[in-house]
Amino acid sequence: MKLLIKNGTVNPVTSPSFMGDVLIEDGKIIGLEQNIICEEAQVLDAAGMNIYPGIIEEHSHIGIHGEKTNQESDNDVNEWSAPVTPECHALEGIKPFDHGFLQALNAGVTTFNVYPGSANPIGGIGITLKNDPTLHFEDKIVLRNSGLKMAMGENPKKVHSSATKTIMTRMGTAQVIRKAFQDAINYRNKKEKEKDSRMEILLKVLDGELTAHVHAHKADDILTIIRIKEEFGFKMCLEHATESHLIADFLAKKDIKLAVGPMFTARYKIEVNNRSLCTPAILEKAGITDFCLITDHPVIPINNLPIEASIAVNNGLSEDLALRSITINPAINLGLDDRIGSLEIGKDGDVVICDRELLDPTHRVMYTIVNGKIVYDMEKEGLIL
Amino acid sequence: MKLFKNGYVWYNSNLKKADFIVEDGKFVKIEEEIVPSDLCETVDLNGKYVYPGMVDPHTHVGIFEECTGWTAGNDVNETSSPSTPGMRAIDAINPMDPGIESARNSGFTTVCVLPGSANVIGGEGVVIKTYGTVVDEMVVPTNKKIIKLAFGWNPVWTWGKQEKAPQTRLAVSALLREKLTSARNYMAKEEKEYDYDMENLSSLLKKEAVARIHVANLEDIETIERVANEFNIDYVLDHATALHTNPDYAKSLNVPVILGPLNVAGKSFQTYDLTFDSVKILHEAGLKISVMTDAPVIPLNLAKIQIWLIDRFRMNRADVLDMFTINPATVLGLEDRIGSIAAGKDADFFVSSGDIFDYRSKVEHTFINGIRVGGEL
Repeated sequence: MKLLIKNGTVNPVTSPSFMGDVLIEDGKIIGLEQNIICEEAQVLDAAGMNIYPGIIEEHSHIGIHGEKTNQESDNDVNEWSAPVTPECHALEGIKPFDHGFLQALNAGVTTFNVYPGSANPIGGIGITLKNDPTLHFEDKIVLRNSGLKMAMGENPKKVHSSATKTIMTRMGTAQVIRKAFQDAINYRNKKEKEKDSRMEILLKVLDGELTAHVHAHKADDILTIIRIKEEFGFKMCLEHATESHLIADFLAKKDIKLAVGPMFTARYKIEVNNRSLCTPAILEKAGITDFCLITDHPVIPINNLPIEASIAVNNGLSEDLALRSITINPAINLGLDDRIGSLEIGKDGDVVICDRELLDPTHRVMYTIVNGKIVYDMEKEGLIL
Repeated sequence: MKLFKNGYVWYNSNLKKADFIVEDGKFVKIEEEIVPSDLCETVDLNGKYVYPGMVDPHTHVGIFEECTGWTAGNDVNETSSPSTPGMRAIDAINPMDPGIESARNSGFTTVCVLPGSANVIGGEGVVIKTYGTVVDEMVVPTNKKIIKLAFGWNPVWTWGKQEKAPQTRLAVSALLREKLTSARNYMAKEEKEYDYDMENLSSLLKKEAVARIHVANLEDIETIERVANEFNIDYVLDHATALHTNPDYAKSLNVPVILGPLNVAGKSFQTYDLTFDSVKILHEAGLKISVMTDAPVIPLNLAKIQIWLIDRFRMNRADVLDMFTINPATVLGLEDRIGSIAAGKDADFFVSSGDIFDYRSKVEHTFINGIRVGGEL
């Protein structure tokens, strides 16, 4: 099965734009140049349109935070029966027919990651999915264990000071995390033991097989988790990183990744008081160019992901990094950059085609293509807004 | 007197090269070319774009303050009773709320501030300009009082979880009927003690007030129509999330409709029908639509995202801008004072570096009553 996208403005993100064609065979990109001729291919005329790699959402709760339903009954984001729940897996809470999948298609999001919520200091394991509605759920999985979700700051304190009475302050959150990892080390050192799946997961983090993705908004929370990370030596990505612009120079020296957003929420919580639309631009100026943007869908709608990139440009971010922050950078962050995140020969045929430039928020996504299959066609299905 | 020259000015539903004069806080003249005189200070706009100050007909800015945590600045819902018609939003508005600053910096010059939707009868709303330190001086007087009501899930959820009435939609309309009947009895009494609640409800019955009704689902809209007809009150449908599912019925109601906030994910059952399509469908059905942010639900500095997303339907852009300017001004009964650039109206406008539909544009200056009050730079 071959798909030939013809005569568009192709922006591969990791190489310069050109007018031309993209050829996909068996789900992989095999041609990327002008005037490709392939008689047996299905042809998609993209004249006057703009072609990009599929958008990637690094941090969402699609399907696990059920939509269009009563608030509690389909919300499986936070297992707050205990503060440390590494054994919980987002996979078990995802409703595969949830409306969020459809909204993501209309937004040109071809791959998204789903994490458990931020109520627990150690919340559980995330999963990365391809957004092809025709695939069986198991076949949508790109990365079964995409990281261990952890959380600092207001949320664990607020939830567990009342629900389990195990955490009353930020000091408590930090010690719950330290104790959990120390328990894992003690478990490893024990000669005779029964297998403990919770400890095994924490050991994977300590061994660098699983990255810790840590919800942290305020600079003090960011500094605390960096302190803990350096004590135990695990790989880490900061999620939200709302005050990262206040300590950008410090963060630039650290071996950590950043996932910034959602940028469009009201400043209800104290920990987002310093949220700024300039954060991406300030990070870029400090030399941090591998951050990605996130919507935390449904906190803000997933179709706001490219609009976050647009607003960041309006506030000083380069257009190049803006596009990277929603394509190749989230792919790097998830360790999937050999497969997705840019248009390159050999990579997955995940493509979004827009009538205007992707960074122009008045664009319409005309086609979303996953693994070389057209999974959304605006003319046929209408806008899903 | 100030002459603003060489701008592209949005007036008469068009963007045209034009000059305009502002005096004593009002637009006094807009013409293609006005020759400068010694009487006028001249400001050269250098081809910048000028739009009328935007109007948000449904917000909670000032009473649901940002940057104060969830509770300290939150005075939206007086949930000591499901019926609080005497409450006044003005009594809780903090002019220093950063949400109000966001509003003016982003080109929103007038907002209506309403109590929330937890109570069936929430209280009295107020219209303010988005600049000032004394709320009383920010008020834009309206001919009619504004009384906030709410139907559906919010009152049922708020009171139901406390095991108090209303537990169901049945009790929401029953409570409203009972209160309006009490007001009718109150009005009929010759000798009476002044009652704040009854006075505000009476003003609805006397058509000296407009009910602003929070509603999402179609069955609730139908109930509102029934109750409003029984008591002959004027009303506006706020949110009206499911109204587009029956456009013929929507048209037959012949009441103002304020849609939004639209740029939110459909998190709850109440927002089951939430879609930007509602704007297009109801506009094409012939309704004059306004769009709200419900700020801080969508902060006003991000309201333009709704404008861009509506533009994806490729409707006439003049019609889209009307939804954020003259249409909401009309809903508030203030179309003679605000909502467009025209001689005699308040000089509320913003100067943008480019077209408002272009994401690269910045609001460089916002003017209220002819005075520069902010901007994004």
